[in-house]
Amino acid sequence: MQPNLKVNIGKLELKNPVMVASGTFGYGEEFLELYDISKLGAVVTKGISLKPREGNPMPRMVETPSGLINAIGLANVGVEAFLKEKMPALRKAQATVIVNIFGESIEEYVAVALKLEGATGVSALELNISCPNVSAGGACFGTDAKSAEAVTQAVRRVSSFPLIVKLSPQVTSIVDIAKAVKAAGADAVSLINTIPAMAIDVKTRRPVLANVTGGLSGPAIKPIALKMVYDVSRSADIPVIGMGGIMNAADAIEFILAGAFAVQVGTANFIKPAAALDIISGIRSYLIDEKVDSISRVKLFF
Amino acid sequence: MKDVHATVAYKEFAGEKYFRLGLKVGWDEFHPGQFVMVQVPGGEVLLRRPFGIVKTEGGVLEVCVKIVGKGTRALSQISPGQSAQVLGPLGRGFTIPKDAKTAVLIAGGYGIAPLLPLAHKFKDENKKIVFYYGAKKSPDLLYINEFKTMGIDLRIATEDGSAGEKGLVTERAAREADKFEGATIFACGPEGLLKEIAKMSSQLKVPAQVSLERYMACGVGVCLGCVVKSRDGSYVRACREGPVFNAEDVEWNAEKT
Repeated sequence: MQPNLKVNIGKLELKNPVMVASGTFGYGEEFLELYDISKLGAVVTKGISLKPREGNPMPRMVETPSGLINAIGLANVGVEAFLKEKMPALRKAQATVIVNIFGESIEEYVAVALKLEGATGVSALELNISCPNVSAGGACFGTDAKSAEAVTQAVRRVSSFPLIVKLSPQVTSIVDIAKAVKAAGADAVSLINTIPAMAIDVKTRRPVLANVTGGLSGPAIKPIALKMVYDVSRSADIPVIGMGGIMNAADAIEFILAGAFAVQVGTANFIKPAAALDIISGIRSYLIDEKVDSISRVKLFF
Repeated sequence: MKDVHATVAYKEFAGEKYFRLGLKVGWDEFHPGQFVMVQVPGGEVLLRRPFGIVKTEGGVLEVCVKIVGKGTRALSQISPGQSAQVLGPLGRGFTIPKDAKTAVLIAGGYGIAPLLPLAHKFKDENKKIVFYYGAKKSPDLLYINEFKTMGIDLRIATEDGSAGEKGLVTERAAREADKFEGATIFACGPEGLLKEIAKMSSQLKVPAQVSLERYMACGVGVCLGCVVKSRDGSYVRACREGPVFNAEDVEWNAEKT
């Protein structure tokens, strides 16, 4: 018998628990030549702002042991071009679309959410309050429970979409932030965003990235992410979407066992375009091998 | 674009720090200037590495690798029979203008890689080719025998004078540039060389297409880590809108040399 991979996160129903993370899958169009993206639990788009953004100067990326530091700077086409030029292809591909949004002020988050309100083909919003690579907004909202609550509440008021809030790991208590956004009306939290990091070139004696610092992703951060997902799942009464260095099905299952309802695959998309599909089939095989009929029944033993 | 589990058909060292790698990918079709992302076996590095396609024959693809860091060093340890994931062909290659009678190809070092298939294409179309090829020293000149058998007009310069003229290849090309009228320049090599060619192109009013090299994470246009600043101020992706650009469209002052 085929195990049931369906998951429900508040009002949001996904055909399986594997999404692709924001900033690692563009607007989905680049992957259309490679595979059927409707097979994914969801496509989380590149972060969308009110106005288009060019992003940071080069170099923007550097590989480090078991990881990747990026400082892209939230380059994106802006919400209007996204709706006009990018959404049609996603709709045509019948992808489940979660739009990641961000702003430099609460008003900007609200403005983006308003533009997206009611858009056909959008299934949920993911609020990025945790990008480490921009000077204003971004992580500022994510590192303080009161600001996190305020921005979530403001978007909640104007948006009827299920609301996921993406949390920063750069906090004393991620559980407190999760509780705050839950109180403000978030349907779920996703964690973790990248961890602030840097690399220095000893020959030039300069930071490798033009932005000096960036956010670390990849296998290097997985154990840290897993612990945070575990903490939030146990202590905050809100569904958790886990991410951070998931490279294969075993990694994804670890997050689900830690309490995540679903997972996002990020850096792995750069290394193998079909990584998320491999992970979906790996989870299915695991459930068959373990004789569990549904993903929602995979639980951690103590 | 396909992601293929490829077997290594051959590996041949050329010079001290270069090797040619033959990979059985099962496809032949590509445009000169396109590239592939090759997985580095061994798990020491995470990301694949981008390489220009030198040629394909009977489903075997050849790339030319320069050992510059951890990834390329690890890749140099691969043996025939082992396998690696190969994604490609990727990017926008050279555009061959219909009316171009003469093609001036200028390569620096292993920038020769994407120009070799282009030279073959021009040769097949019976177009006139002038090929400038420069390197630091004679052992760094790659694919010399291929060019000799093609019988094209090859003009070599090395910085130490160990082959061809002593000096920079751009200096040699600039000196002979009065004969470039009506031609198109196609170039690949270090950024400093390409910058010189961009200058030459605008002074002579001869169009130039240049292939830029970038560190890349994904190779398919989603990570935005390989962008190039264009003249209009926007960033364009080397992996998608490039790696070949019109020299006049690139904001060279933003480029490090």
